[in-house]
Amino acid sequence: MCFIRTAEPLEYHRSFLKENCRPDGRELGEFRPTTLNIGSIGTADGSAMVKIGNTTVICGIKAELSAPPSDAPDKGYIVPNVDLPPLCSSRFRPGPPGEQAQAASQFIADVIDGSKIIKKEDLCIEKSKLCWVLYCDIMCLDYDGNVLDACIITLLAALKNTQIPKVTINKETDLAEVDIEHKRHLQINKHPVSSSFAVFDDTVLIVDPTAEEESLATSVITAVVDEDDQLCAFHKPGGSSLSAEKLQDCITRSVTRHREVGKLIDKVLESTKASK
Amino acid sequence: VPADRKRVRGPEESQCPLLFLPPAAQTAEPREPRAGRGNGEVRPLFARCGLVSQAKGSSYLEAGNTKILCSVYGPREPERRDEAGVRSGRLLCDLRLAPFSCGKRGAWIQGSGERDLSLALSESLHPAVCLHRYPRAQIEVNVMVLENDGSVLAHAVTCASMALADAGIEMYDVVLGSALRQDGGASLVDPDLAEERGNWLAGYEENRGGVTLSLLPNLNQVSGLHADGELRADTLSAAVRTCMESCHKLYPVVQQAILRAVKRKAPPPEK
Repeated sequence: MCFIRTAEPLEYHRSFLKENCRPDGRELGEFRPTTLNIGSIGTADGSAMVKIGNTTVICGIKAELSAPPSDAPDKGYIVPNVDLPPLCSSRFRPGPPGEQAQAASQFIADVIDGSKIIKKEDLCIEKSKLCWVLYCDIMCLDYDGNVLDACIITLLAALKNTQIPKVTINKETDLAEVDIEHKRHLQINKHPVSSSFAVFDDTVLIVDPTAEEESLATSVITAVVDEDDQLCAFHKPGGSSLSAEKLQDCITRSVTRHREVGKLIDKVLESTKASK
Repeated sequence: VPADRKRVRGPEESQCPLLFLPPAAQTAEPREPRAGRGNGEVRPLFARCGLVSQAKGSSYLEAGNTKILCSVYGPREPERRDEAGVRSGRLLCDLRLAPFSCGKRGAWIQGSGERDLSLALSESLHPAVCLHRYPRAQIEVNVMVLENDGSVLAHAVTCASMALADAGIEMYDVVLGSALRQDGGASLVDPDLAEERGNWLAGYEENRGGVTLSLLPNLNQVSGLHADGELRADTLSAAVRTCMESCHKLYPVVQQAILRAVKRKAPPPEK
């Protein structure tokens, strides 16, 4: 029985899942080809662009100076923000960030806090006086599903690429002095990588859903794992219930994905260093 | 400033580190002549169409370090029915500068500068698109500037018209943009950011300003002209003529990019 993709999308996808594959030819547990480009934006202190299949996400990091928060005088700030502009897909309208963008921003902020990718104490220059603020602006340029994975990878790559100048406080004038000649990289403690899954009909688990698959799925799951195989974050906003074995499958698959992505990021960073 | 409740909040105020450079670094450097190109030459252009899979048409343009991405959606039903024109369609243009695109971080909320640029873009593209062929429909052009290294409006116009061509929107002609910076006696075509800003320490001199022009090359008609600063009348007309010439120089590159995209979408039949 042949199903038309636009008329009956769910039946169309089900007919493929019965044969244990997907309309674009992938296996159930296969990710789309991932490419990474680091350091292309000259005006940003660090930048990276990731393409997972058609989904394209770019992250630019700008470092600014500010007074530390009054409740944590020895910590700096990391401010991530995800933008889904109308440029990337016709489902997003111009104006303030919608629900999906806000949820993504909050998710990234939670992953940064939970995985301790950067210690906020490292961003403090002088206690109670001056600290760094890292604005991580993540923008989606082409939306084809699985934006959260792409955002985390691009954020990690951009942070590894970021260089901030040395800052000292002049004792007499009490003002900051920036030495733009001497720059240092950030101290990255952990390398979290996320993997997203979608659940069809409460039973079938597929990896790296496209936009079409996401809209037909009964549930979406994102698991974030770091290099010590520790689970940093697990995001399952509602949807169908899953057994413990299925959840364990997700986490195991994320660990494998972490190795692939880790190698990719290291390879690209090596090649950018070599070309300099 | 109203609190932006929909985004993750940072500190109330933060300053760009470039404000705190020691005085030694801020003295005027002697202005180097343009590396590798003459005063009348445009920067080498890289243009590709069809990069955004979700959009009807899209294009990416790089001129020196300026990087611009544009995507076109439409013709589609307008959101508010009462605004739909019976006779002709609507063209909605939106130009945005990414927060990391300029030396000083920009805010997410669109400022008046961006709105002015969007309006200028819309005025430049309007005469070229055959809107009477799309009654009751709306065509959306979204331009995103990923890195700002000068001549943003000019390159945004070129990028947007390539994206419209890629989307198959009927047009009378492509619209090409070019910018010029007049600095005393020197006219610099396609200025980069340092040249555009000018040297504030050089003092007051006559004939300092910039011109941005949008041209329909085959019809040889100007669809948009913006000039700022102080320019004498004869300098201004010379600048407009120089801009028109540099638009004609850009035309082959744009033509190539559009042809490539068309050949990819509809490959010629094999003999």
